[in-house]
Amino acid sequence: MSKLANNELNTENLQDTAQAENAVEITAKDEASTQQTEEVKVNADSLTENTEDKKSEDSVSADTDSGIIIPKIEAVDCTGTCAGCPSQSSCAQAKGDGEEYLLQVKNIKEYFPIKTSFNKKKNVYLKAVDGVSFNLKQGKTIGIVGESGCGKTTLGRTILRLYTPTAGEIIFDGKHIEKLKGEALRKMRPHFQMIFQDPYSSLSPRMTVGEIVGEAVKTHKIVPKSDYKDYIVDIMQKCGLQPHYFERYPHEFSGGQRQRICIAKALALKPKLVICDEPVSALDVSIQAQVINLFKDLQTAENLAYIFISHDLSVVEHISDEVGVMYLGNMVEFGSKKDLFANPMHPYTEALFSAVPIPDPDTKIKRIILQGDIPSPANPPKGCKFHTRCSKCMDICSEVEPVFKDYGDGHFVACHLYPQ
Amino acid sequence: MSSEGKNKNTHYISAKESRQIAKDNTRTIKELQKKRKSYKREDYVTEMRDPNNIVEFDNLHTYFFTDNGVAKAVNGVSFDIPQGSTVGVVGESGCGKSVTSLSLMQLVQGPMGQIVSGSIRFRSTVRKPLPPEPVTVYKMNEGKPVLIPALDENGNQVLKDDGEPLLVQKFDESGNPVFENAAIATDEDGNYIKEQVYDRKGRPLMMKRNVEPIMTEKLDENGNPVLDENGERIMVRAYNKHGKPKFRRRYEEHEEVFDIAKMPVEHMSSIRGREIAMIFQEPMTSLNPVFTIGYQLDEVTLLHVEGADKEDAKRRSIEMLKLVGIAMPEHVYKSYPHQLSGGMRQRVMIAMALSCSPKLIIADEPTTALDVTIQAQILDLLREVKDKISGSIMLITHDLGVIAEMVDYVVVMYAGRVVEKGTVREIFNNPLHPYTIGLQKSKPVVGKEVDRLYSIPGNVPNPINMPSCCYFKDRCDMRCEACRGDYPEMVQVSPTHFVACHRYMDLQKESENE
Repeated sequence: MSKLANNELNTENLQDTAQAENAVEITAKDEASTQQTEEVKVNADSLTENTEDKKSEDSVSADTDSGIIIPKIEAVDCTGTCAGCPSQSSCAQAKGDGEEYLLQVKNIKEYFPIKTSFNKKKNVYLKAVDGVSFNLKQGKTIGIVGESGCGKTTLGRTILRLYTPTAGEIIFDGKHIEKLKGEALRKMRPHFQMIFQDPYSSLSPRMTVGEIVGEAVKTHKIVPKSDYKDYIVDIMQKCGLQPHYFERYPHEFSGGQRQRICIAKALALKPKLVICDEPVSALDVSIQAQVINLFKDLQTAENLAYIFISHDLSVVEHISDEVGVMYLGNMVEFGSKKDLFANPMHPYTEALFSAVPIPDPDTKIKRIILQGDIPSPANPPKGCKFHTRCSKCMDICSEVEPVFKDYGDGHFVACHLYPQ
Repeated sequence: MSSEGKNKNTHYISAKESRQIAKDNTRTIKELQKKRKSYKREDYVTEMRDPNNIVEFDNLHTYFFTDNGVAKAVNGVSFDIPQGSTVGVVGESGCGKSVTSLSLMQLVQGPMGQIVSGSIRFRSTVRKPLPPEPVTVYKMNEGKPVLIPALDENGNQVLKDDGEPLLVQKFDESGNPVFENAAIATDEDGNYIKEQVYDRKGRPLMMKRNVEPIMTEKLDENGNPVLDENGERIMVRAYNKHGKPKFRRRYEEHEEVFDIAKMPVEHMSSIRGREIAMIFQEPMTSLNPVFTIGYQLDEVTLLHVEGADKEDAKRRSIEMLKLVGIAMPEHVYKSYPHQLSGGMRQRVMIAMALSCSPKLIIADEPTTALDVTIQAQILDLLREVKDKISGSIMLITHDLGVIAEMVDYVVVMYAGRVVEKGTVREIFNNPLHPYTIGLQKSKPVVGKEVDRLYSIPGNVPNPINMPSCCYFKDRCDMRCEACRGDYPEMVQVSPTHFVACHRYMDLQKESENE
């Protein structure tokens, strides 16, 4: 049974078998340690069963010998009252009633093993996402910005459950989805959809536009068979595609049109949440404007929530209500768009904003140029991860990791410059 | 092409039409190639219109003869790149920005892509090896021969009949005659006089090549340069690993203007990479994954620098890697491209472009694939090196922010033609062409809130079967009756500001009347 479940997981998650198995392995490892068995042999299949059996007994276990702390999936339901909640400190907006949010992400972690060994203490993990929390309301947009390699795409994919999170909670519409698998997860899938970066490689060249848009509609039985074609044509028209494109192939379209097909494909399932992973980066300026306008129109019409991942700050500022800045797997600053752009508090955010070229030859801004590249997430610096490139680095920065703390009006910053 | 007018819908071509197009294409390409081969040196040596320019594009047409018809990728482009300035070329993808730069590098994909007409004038520094010089020696003062008394076998002086001792020429140990006061002869100004050497048959002796010895810095054991009392570096002769002195050919340099559109490939390869260097868009794909960074950087120096051997090339490559701000040049020199991040790879590309100190750098979307923070670093670097090598930059991009920050002159291209050109202030503060205005409005700006972005409706038209009227007519929201007519001419608005739009035709008429 477990083998079946594992297979399903693999196909569903649309990712490498290796990664899926490894993800299971991490969970499995903790199980083994709580059971205090001497068994070293790794068998993903048998251990998956363990995971299922022992779910309720999960607690945080630290592998202190190897220095890597692998927290387990915490099965704590958000009761709505923050007093006494174990994830209160890491919860981005720990206040009020949790039910009003469409999506709550609590201290989510995603580690990829880059060096595995039979002796699990020797395993080395790449901490792609290392404790990110935020909440998203229905019909709102959260923009996520950061350099490449900071984990923003992994975050998006983990929320979508294309990866299984190593730790943390994802509460979508009041339901915990971080541990779902198999049929239960498949039932949830239509509610959250993704739009990928490159419209040239994310469409199958051998399927017509109608087939691409309608494939998932058929699978999930969104509409009865008799209404199928009308429904697809309707969706296509909403996304600005002519009905006669139904029989055409993706290669006949330009980049902007292809991105519209991708959007139609995602919207055909009537999702509540759409994760857009750099949807306009590969497009021309004028086409970019068309697609961004389409995103905004659809949001008003369908009351969609977006997580908009991009490295183009001007686009993020235009489309988002709230913005989160990520650096090396951590959220370093989070706040409402106005607050964040008017008053960036973290030095990294300041540097990022000052690096954006302004299309006006008469404005000269004082540019903070960050030296060097982003450090490897497999071996991140100690203390504040940004201290190696920070212009305002202090002694404490290289030793103590700053706390992600609210400094008023939901403006969260993790920096030692402000009273901790 | 005969088939061009017939079919309006370019998506569907009958087999007959397709065959006709292929036939026509083959004929035209053959004609063009033949014509190109027939050009002599006199044909491609020309004069600049303005001596301050380094490059002048003059009515350039580059077409691609595809199986669907002729795609006029560049259709009459004219602009100048002044010496020491940065020129930005903006436009959507498919508007011919890259093909313009590739035409300048003679890298248009042949035989499909051909420069059909027009010219690209480039001011090149021509290096001509000096002709071999005759072998000369310093002329010696002859002076008086030294005479000594002759001795017989027993050591007694030989006397003449008149009783005087017989005097004979003195020879030194090696058998040369000895003269009094022998020294190098000088002329009236005190300069040494040189003398031609003749061989046995009386012909003047010539050098094989005109060479000069290569000098290098004197280094101590640690590889640091040795300084003399005045703190200047001591230069010594360079020797190769066999212990023989190294020489380089002597060149005379002069400036000459070439028309690159007519130049043969053999000649172009001495300019390409040495005088015009290119930084490509994707640093991921433009470095060869199977060679080390060092190998690829050395190649440029070995090809273009006369007399350079592997050691010189390595020294030069590491110097270049330092120049572009790479922290561990020796380490990067030995690594392969996949071991570097995107920003580092782009730096390596820039280092490669700079290693011959080119006069013109073409940067084709150098920062499009990079993050904002890395983009800021790379743009800063480009500005810095431009001043260091006092060259010009042709910057191709679709990011108006980068343009505003970097360039002096802007050229806005649309569907293979220049629609507007001017200084950066003119284009940003007073954009005239509807396309330029649309481009500026469609980009969201940080700190400026707009409810809805302006978007230019439609797409770039298909480059095959372009209409004869203004290409932007169908997407333009300011079109008027005149737009149905011919393609608008370039109108001069100010000494540096030109625009091709019917709305400004009145301006030209007014100025003509005046």
